[in-house]
This record gives sequence, C-alpha cells and structure tokens, in this order.
Amino acid sequence: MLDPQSSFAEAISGRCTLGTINGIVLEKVCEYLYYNLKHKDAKDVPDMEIPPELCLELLMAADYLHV
Amino acid sequence: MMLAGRGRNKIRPPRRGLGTNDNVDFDSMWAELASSLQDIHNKNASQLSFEALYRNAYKLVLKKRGDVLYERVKEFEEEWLANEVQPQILEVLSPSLLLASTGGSTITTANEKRAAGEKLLRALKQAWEDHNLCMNMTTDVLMYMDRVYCKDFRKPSIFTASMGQFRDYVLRTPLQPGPDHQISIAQVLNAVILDQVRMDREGDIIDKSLLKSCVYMLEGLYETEQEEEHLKLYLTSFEPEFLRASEEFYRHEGSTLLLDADAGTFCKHAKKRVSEEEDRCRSTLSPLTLGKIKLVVETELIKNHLREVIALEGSGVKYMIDNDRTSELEMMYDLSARVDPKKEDLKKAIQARIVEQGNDVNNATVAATQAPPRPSAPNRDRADGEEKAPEKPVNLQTTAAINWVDAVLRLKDKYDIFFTQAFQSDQGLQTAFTRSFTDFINAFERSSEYLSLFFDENMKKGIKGKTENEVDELLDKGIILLRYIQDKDMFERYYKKHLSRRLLMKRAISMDAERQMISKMKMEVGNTFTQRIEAMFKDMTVSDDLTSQYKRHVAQLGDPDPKRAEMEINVLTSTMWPLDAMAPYSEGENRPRCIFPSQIERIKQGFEKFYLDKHSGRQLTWQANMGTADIRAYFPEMKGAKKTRELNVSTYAMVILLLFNDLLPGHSITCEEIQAQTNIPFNELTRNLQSLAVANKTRILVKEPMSKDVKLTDKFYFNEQFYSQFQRVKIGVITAGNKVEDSTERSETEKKNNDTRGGVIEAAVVRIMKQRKELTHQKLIAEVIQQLTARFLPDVNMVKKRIESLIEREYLERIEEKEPPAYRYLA
Repeated sequence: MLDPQSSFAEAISGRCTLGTINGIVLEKVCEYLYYNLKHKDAKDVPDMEIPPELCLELLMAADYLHV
Repeated sequence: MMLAGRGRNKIRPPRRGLGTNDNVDFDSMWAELASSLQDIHNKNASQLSFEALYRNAYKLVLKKRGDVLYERVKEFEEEWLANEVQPQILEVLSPSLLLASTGGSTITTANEKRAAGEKLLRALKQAWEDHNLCMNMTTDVLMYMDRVYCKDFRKPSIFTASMGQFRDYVLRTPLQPGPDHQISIAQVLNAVILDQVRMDREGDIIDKSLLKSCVYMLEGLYETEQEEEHLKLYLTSFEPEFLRASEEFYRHEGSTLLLDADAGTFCKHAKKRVSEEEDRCRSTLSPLTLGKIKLVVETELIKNHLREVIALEGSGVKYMIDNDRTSELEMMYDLSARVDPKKEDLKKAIQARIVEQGNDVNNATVAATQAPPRPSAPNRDRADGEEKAPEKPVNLQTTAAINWVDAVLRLKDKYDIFFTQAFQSDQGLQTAFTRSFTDFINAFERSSEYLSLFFDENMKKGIKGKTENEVDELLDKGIILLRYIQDKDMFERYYKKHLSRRLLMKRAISMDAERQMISKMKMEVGNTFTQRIEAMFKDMTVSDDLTSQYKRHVAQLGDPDPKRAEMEINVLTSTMWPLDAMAPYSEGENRPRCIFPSQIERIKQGFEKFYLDKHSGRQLTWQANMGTADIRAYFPEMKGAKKTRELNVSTYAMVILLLFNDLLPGHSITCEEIQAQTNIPFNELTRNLQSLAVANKTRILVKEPMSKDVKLTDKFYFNEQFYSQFQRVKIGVITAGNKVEDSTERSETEKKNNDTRGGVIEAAVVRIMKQRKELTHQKLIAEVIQQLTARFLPDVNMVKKRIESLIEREYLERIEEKEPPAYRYLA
C-alpha cells in the first residue's frame, strides 16, 4: 500500500494507520519484521521470543497483515 | 509445550478488536468499496486509504461474503470495460482500418493507414496499461479475498479474472454485429501489427516500442483462466497470422529476388533478412516466435530457392569458386547449413565444379602432350617461373606431366582455402572434396606416372636452394595427391623406376629429402608400400660398403697397376629393383652382353671373384646401361694450358671412347665396327654416339656425315679440337632421363602391372580363404577388394579370373550344392 505506483493516500502521505491492531501486538509484529530482515539469509537462527499471552492476537494480526 | 511449561501467564483471549463483532452491512460496505474502485479506475486514488479498503474487504471475507464480493467486483469490472474502455477504443478505430483488416480494397495512403494504425495501437496500449495498473491496485486491496476466498473455492484470482474480462470485452467484442462481419478489435489489432511489421520489412521506420507493448499485452492474456503457457493470446491468435503473412512475404520476395539479383546479393540479402527477423523478435515481437519465424524465412527464402541460387548462371557457386569469392561462399555455406545440415546442394555444386576443373586440367594436359612443341605450355597462367626457366629443354611431355601436377595442386590449394575460410572446415564437405578429387585424378589414367615424374623432377632440380620447410611442404603436397590416387601400385612401380635412375645416376640432390619422402609415403600408404623402396636404399649403402671393402681388398693384393681404374659397384637385389624397367632388353636369354675393353674386363672379373667369395651362390649380372664412368682424356690440340679434361660419361660411352685409344690419330671407325667390337645394343649405341658426336657442347667425336641421325655406315673420328672451359665435362646420354613413356612403353608397363596385380590378388584370395576355409563368392570378392584398396582398386573381372585360376591349380574348390556359390580352401 506504500508502493508509490498505487497512488493511495498512504503512498502519498507515507503514513499508515492500522487502527485495528493493538500497539503491543504491532510492536511485536515490527520486531518480527526486523528479525526477519536481519536473519534473511542466515541459518541456525535463534527463535524469536513470543510471549504466550500474545499468541492468538499475533496470529490474527499476522493473518490480517499477511506476514 | 514450552509455552505450557512456562505457563503461569494466562493466554490473553484475543480482543474482538478487528471489528468482527459489529454487524457487517454488506451493501453499505460494497457501496463504499465500489465507489473506491471507481476512484481507482479514474486514477483518483489519492484520497483513499488503502488500509480502510483492505479492512473492508477483509471484513467481508471474514463474514463469509467473499463469493458475493468476488461476483460484484467482476460485475463492476465488466461494466467498466464495456462502458468506458471499449468505446474509447472504438472511437479511434477508423473505417479504413476496418476495411484493411477485412481485406477490402485500401484506398487510403500508407501514411494515413499508418497514422490510424498507430492511433489504435496507442489507444490499446493506454487502455491496457490503465487496466493493468487499476487491477494491480484492486488486487492489492482485495488481497485478503484472493488469499482466502479464491484459494478455498478454486477461483481464479481477481486479477486473472479481470484480465479475461479485458480479453472478452475489449478485444473480442464483435465490432458490427452481423452474420458476416465477425471482426473484433483483436483481429484489427493483428492486421495493424502485421501491417507495421510489413512496413518495417520494407524499410519504413515504425514505433517499435509501441508494437512491443501491444505484443506484450497479447502475451499477458490467455485463452483460459488457467493461464497455461501455450494458450497465450499471442500464440493462439497473433502468431499463426504473423507466420502466415511472413511466409507470403518471403515467398514473394524470394521469387522476385531470384529474378533480378545475382547469387551473391541473394545470399547477402537472405542473411540480412534472417538477422533482421531475429532482431525483430527481440525488439518488437516476442522472443517466443524467434525459432518459428526463422524457420519460415529459411524455408521460404533459402530452402526453396537454394538450388536455383547455387546453379545461378554467371553468379552462382561456380562463379564464386572461379573468382575466389570466399566471403560469398561463406555466406552460401552459412545459408545451406541453416536449412540442410548435410548441405547436399552446395556439396553437389562444388563437386561438379571440382570434377569439371579437374577434367579441364586433364584435357589441357592431354592437349599439351599432343600439341606440337610450343614455347610455353598452353593455357597455363603459371605463377612460378621455376620450371618455365629454360634451364634445359625438358621433354615436352615431362613438362606437361609436371604442369599437370602443379595444376592439380593449385586446384587443391584453392579448395583448401575455401574449405578453411568459407566452409568452417566442415567434415562432410571435406569428404565430398576428397571424393571429387579422387574421381577426376583417377579419371586421368596417367596420374600415377605424372605424379611420380613430379617427384622425380623436384628431387632432381626443384628442391635445389629450398629450405627444409619448403621441401617438406612440397613433399606434403605431393603426398596429398598420392592419397587421391587409387592405383597406388602403379605409382609404386613408376616411383621405383624413377628412383632407381636417380640413385644410380646420382641425380638425387638430397638423400635426406629422399628419405623424408619415403617416410612420408610410409605414413600415408603403409609399410608394405615402401618396403621395396627402402630395400633399394639399403642396397645402395651396402654397395658403398662393398666398394670400399673391394678397394681394400685390391690394395692388399698389392697389384700396382697404374692403369688400373677405380671402380664403384652397386649391387642391386633383383627382386627389389625394377630392373626390367631399366633394361628393356633383358627379355629372353640371348640378351646381348656388352664386351668390355680388356682393362675393364679384368676389374670386372676381379670383383666378381671377390663378391662370389663373400656370398657364394649368388649371380651377378652386369647392367652396363646403368653405369657411369669418369675418364681422363687428352686432347692434343686443345687451346689453353692444360690439355686434359675429365669426362663423366655413361659406361657404354666409356667403352666406345676406349676404342679410340687404340686408334691412330686421324683414323676413323664406323658405327658398325663399334657395334661389332662392343656388342652394345643398337639403340643404346646410337644414343651414346649421338650424345658424344652430335650434341654441341660435348662433341668428343666427330661424325661423318654431320647429321643428327646415326646410321650404321657413319664414320667417327676423335675430336682433337674439343674445347671446354670446364675441367670436368659431364656428357649425359640423350633422353636417358626420366620422362613420360610413350604409348607402347605405357601399355607394356600396364601389362606388367596387371601381372603383378594378378599375383597380389591371388595372394589376397589365398590369405583370406586360408583364414575362413569356406566363403561365398560375394563375400570373398568384397574382402579381396577391401584388402587391396589401399594399394589399388581391383577389377572384379580380374579377381574372378584369379579365383578361376586358383581353382584350376587346386588351391580352392567350388562347394557344389551350395547356393549362393561358395568356395572352400584346399590345404
């Protein structure tokens, strides 16, 4: 949605509002994205720590965000 | 597990925060989505929040309304394409284009047509790009639907579906509904593209990138929703038409080109066309077509016309060969290689030309040998003045022989250049070349003799003053020709004959070169071939030893005879040397034996005794006609201080001259008397007398009457006025050198050769049968031929005769009841 080719509002303003996702969860998602990028080509990567109480919410967010 | 183990912390139930709890009103949400889509299509998306749209679609799918959403989107697209895009396209569709695509007469000028075509292409391109962009955005928004709904229900993604719609509503809509006007935009598009390509081919400049994007569009669309590779619209609708049109174009072009261009131009053009098409596929159309269009060009332009081009009068392959058009030949080869890996046509044409040229050479040689002597050999543009230089009045026929070899070698050089430069050293062509050369060289019946003469000439004179490498090269060339000659035994016979003359008369310039030659022949033809020739060399060295041994022997005898002549002996093994060829009078027992003067006779007997002591049981036959002698002669009336000269003469001449020793000055002796006293065969005698008395520079004797011919009654005097500026005078015997045989000699040689062949064939038959015991006739013949082809090509009739004779002599027998006929070996 930030793809400059698709001229959505987000692409123009460079700002996405994800109103449906809780801040803690979103932080975890960001952490995951960073983790993913960091270990892109690496092997034997240590597991990422996921607090169990966030599991389900994270699952839903992941489904929504397709990450 | 780990989580559970840790588990004091309660797993928090997910908040129902994703809006799943509020009731979803599909219609209102769809309305919102639809208007957004509208905005997207109008390129007005900057007000829209992707997240919001995505969330809406997400919700709808979560609420199990995906199917409705999918259908609605499709409907929306359908409407959009039908109502907005299609009319735009139709607008730019000018009637002229319609006419052109239906095949009606086009009155419009090319320019108009082109402009209209480009307009359509541009509009289509625009529409396609817009559609693509919008659909990408839509797909993004509906990503969740694609992911969940389409996958679950096995529906094509919304993108694919909308592409299909583009195909159906934009390209496939019939323009004018009616029974006979079933043209759609797609067809018009095809026509326009083809038109543009045609213009490009004719040299006009077209907008390639525009074409490319339209082709790209066709490539992006598929016949079905499954998007199978081979069902691209490009492949199904455009490509066949394109190929058909190209075929027509090139067929037409090929035939016109054939009419007004020469072969070279044709080749150039065809090559250019092929690379052009390749370029076109890369830059304008799709690479998918590359192979197919190449095939079209190749068949239409090259394959169907190649034969005519090759045979083209005045510019075809023949012309190229004659004028050394290597680059054109190369192109020709290239084209042939494209359509026919074996290059049959080209091969045939070249073979024909080789044989033709070869026969020309043959005929010219025959003409040269029959024509009266002319200052220079006829129709030869000889570059090397080597033989032309009048160092000696070489026998005309011999010159012709050497010319023949030269001409053949030149021809071979020429084709070798073609072969490496134009034909990429193609194996198939090489065999063809070889076959052709073999054909015409063997068609010329004197080839083996001429080749041997060529070697002879070079060994005697040609290699003088040449470096080792040059000699090597020269010999290699000769060997190449030898490879082509089938009757190698003939060649061997001649070579032996010529070699023996060279050896005995010490005419060979370089023994190294001779040895080199033999080793080359050995490599080329094999051991058996050179065995005898090598034996000849061995005899020569053994003879050298023998001579020095004999000298020592004489010295030990202590015979202080001042008049004693030195002697050098060559003892030749009679089976190895072609003695019959050297001494044509040896047939029959009563061969006239030369009577040697007494002082020579004494030495002769001395040596005979010495030799037979060493090797008992051998028989020595003296070949006086082959020998030479050095004699010191005193000319009383010669000008200058020293009145002696050393004369190098043949043995016979020596014998003749010694007769004059016993003669008082001023006295003469007739030819008849000479013959009676020496018993030299008459024609040898005349030859020697001619060289002694007729030849200007070496007139040791004076003849009366002065005439060229020697008659029995002629009188000879010793020429006391003889003068030569050289201390040493070599008196050659007239026509004793190696030269072409006349026809009687030739048939003689052939007869002898056939006799030898008979023996060889019998030996081969016996060898084979000994091994096999029983063999059918056909197989036997085949094996014999196979064994002997290295030496010569046996005549089947001759083989049959030899088998007959073997049966008569009870080496073989026919197996009676067997069919097909077979033989059995009788031990």
